[in-house]
Amino acid sequence: MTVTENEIIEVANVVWESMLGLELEPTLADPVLPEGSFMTGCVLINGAFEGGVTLQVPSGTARDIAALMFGMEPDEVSDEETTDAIGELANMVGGNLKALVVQPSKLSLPSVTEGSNYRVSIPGTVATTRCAFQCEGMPVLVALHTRSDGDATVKPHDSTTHDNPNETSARSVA
Amino acid sequence: MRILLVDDSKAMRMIVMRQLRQIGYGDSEFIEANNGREALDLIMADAPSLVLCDWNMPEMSGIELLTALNTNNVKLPFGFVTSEGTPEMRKLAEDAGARFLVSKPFTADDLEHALAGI
Repeated sequence: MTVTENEIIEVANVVWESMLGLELEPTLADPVLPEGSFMTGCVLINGAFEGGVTLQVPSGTARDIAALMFGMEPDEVSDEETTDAIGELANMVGGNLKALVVQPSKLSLPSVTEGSNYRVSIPGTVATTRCAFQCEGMPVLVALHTRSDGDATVKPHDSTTHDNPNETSARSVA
Repeated sequence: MRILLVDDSKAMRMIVMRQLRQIGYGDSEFIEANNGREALDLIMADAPSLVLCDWNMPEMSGIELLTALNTNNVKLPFGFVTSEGTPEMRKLAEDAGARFLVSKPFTADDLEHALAGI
């Protein structure tokens, strides 16, 4: 069972509108994040379906999102609250996409990573469906990763892959 | 009314609390727990009028909490607010005695509808 781009767009839009009151516009541009710090929320799916879902936003956007969820100003939210917000958004998008894959499958707790020039890999999977959005002029990337019998890492030029993988996560929590 | 919100995400507890206030629960007292284990301790010490609970949480999940309450013969209105809402999970929740399961993302109207009979 394959999750289509349209299904990801629908799920992400509903999450953004319901939880943040923001519109998420799909873009045709390459799903690439700009230079600088960005956050990745990730949930794994295990069972009849093996894979995961990643959600990526620039760090500044993550702080704006957290502010909306907590009902605070962006300069008032802590790193912990920003991490919590991105993890919960990844959990919601992942939970709804999990419902579209073969069952029974189980969703992990979210993990969140922040930093610059890092590469995200879910071992044993490839990013099979990727969607790029604009929210308030900033990029939002969502990808579904699916178990592959081939190379275990996300291929170069995937949305979750960046040129310099040497710098890795600055913060990662479950 | 004393309402216990159980979710490992503080952001989600804030959103549920805000939406409950929007739909007329502004006078309620809200208490919070990070996971099922914390919630069980709070409930056993002083049972709230209503529990709104996430499913996937560290230490003790929502369904494990509900099972523990059943084992301890604690009866109180209990509903899930979770990002997962497959038919299998809904049945598991219902069989364990949950009054409803609201899928994330949700609106204040969804919560109001779920709580209508409570």
